[in-house]
Amino acid sequence: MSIIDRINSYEDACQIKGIQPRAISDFSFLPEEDREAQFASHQLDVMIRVVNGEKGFDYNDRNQRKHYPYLVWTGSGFALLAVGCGGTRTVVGPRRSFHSEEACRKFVTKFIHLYNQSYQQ
Amino acid sequence: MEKLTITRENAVKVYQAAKLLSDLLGAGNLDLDITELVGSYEDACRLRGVTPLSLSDFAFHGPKRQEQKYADHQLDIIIEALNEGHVFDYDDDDERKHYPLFKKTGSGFALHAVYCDRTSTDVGPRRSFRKEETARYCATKFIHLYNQSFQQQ
Repeated sequence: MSIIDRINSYEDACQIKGIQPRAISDFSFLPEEDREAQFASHQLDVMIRVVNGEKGFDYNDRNQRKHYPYLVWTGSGFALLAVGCGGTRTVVGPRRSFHSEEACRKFVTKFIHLYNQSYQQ
Repeated sequence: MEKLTITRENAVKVYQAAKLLSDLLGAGNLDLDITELVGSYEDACRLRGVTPLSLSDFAFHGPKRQEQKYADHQLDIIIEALNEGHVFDYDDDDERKHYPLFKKTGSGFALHAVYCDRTSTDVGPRRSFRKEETARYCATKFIHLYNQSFQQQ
């Protein structure tokens, strides 16, 4: 079973990494309007790190592809439109990039609600 | 935020002084670009009316993530201030949402170009800008925060 298929929740990713899951109350030191977005961002950080494994991204290596999602507004929220990739450039940074297009596509589709929460204005 | 009280008499004096200055200089000359007001995270906090946080507030993320999370937070506040509270409307095909594209240099990322979208996004509204110049300013002035935010370890 692939790592993506093993992660159905933030708690699954925490268990794989052996860390304690956080709750939104841990973010109460932030301005109220930023809490949900930052909690969602934290969940994405943890899960994407598990999906990518220990292998980091090397932006000096133009042959190493860094895949990232491109989202489109659907009227009620964002949905995956396409997967882009860069070599030595980025708009999203390594913490929102994936080593494979397939992992990116599956992950974003499964956890699109967290992207939408992290985009809250 | 601390509230101050002012007497009616003093409020009238301040108003008259401000009006006189505006008449003398011309109102247009008093318009400041938002980038002139946001030179630091603390400036942005003042404009937004929130108390600045410090690195230690993010300690619960652990030593590896503390700095990047603090950088994320600072970018949130700064970008919101630079956008002057604007809420992006992704139903609006005519509204441009600008965002920076970075390129790896020897030691970190640097601004390469500014892109824009209308109903789709790479970065979401919290990392988008109303104006191209503001995106360019933020990604240049606060490039250290983007680099901290992009840390992998």
